[in-house]
Amino acid sequence: MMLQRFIITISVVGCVAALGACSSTGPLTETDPRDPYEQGNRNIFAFNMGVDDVILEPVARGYRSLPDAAQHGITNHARWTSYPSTAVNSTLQGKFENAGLATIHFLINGLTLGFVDLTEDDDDPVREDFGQTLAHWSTPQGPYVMMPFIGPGTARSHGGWLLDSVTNPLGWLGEPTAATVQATSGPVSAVTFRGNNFDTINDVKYNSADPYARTRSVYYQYREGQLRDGDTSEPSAADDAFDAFLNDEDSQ
Amino acid sequence: MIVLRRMLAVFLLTIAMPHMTMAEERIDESTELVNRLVTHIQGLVNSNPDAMTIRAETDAVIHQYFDYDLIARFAAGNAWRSASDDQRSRYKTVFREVMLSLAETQFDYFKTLEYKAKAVIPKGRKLVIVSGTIHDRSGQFPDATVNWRVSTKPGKPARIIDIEIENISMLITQQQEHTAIINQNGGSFEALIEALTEQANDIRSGKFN
Repeated sequence: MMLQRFIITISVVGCVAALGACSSTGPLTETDPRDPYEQGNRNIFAFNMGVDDVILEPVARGYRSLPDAAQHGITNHARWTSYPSTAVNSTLQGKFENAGLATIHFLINGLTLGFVDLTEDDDDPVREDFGQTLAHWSTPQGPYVMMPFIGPGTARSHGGWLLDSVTNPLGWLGEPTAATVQATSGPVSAVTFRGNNFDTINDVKYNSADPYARTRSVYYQYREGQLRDGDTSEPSAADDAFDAFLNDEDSQ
Repeated sequence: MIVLRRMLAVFLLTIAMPHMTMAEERIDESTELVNRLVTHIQGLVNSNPDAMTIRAETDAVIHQYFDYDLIARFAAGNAWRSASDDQRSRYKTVFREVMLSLAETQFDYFKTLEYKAKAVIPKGRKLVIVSGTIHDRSGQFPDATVNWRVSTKPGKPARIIDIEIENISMLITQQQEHTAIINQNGGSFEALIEALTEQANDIRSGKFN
């Protein structure tokens, strides 16, 4: 819990300081209207890349050298710690089936602290966070914000993350094991995420002409996919962009 | 009254039929194009090619299955309009070089991938989305949804213009990245060409691997 509070405090303080430092740079170097604090965000991104160089990438490399069974176990555990939050947020969004699924998976796999998936169920609960709940309640997404240690997001998604950290039902259990699990869930999730997406993240980091801009673009598209829940009945932002482009091409 | 209704139905069908046939043709042509591409890549993977062959074959694949002119124009964003002919030509060359270098260095990923077609969705008159799933036999990556955006402009052969994996469009990502580089450099298209040249060199030098 202490560790989690420390990361939250550092993130918020670092973010405010970096964004404050850039507030006078004006819109000259702003490259996306969704990102009004771009220069500050770029500074934080550079900091995060430094942390990745020194800590996350080497640790994730170590994680990848573990036997497959160990990697699966740790990934399962990281996913398991998110089930209480998924259950709460699914309920708040009216997705009761997903909430039930998350609760069942949490209770059954709790016998092994989530390291082993005892359900043997192909139908895994879909991760739902408070940022998605806020979007469901039509809260505006706000500006793009790069947080130290945490990474990319919008004001809404970071606010949701903060609420998820505070309201995670694991913390309500009030017993030492739950507290330890909750305290380590952030770093464990970070390592498993980095390890499971090792090549994809390295591709962005080392093969991009502008890693910051690519990260921002990927974040928005991926998040849109999460918020749409796979619904293809309405055109996505990408569909609209291609439609406008092809019509524009024809009119020339 | 019944006769009148029948006549109206026949009339409407006569009008609608050519459009329905056209839509079906676009769907068939797009599906066939993606299937041929997948078969082509599988054949290439099975032949254990060397780096030079991968490069040459990727170039042939871009030429045969993709509308590269359209892709380059889209990826350059609004700056394309104000760029000179010389800049456009150099941009197209260096952007293609980035794509070829990426294919060359990341070809190994294709070795364990399997593609399964899922659905075909026409989007307006000029676009068809062919949807499928990629499965990694090695278990390193979870199954992923892939959407191929196929341009089906009337009177032109169907060509792929974008690949979208798990809702992330490769071309939208490129466009936003290229636009950011141009804007970061005071609207200079030249800066984008320089950045892409550097990127191609970095990829070839194996910084990532």
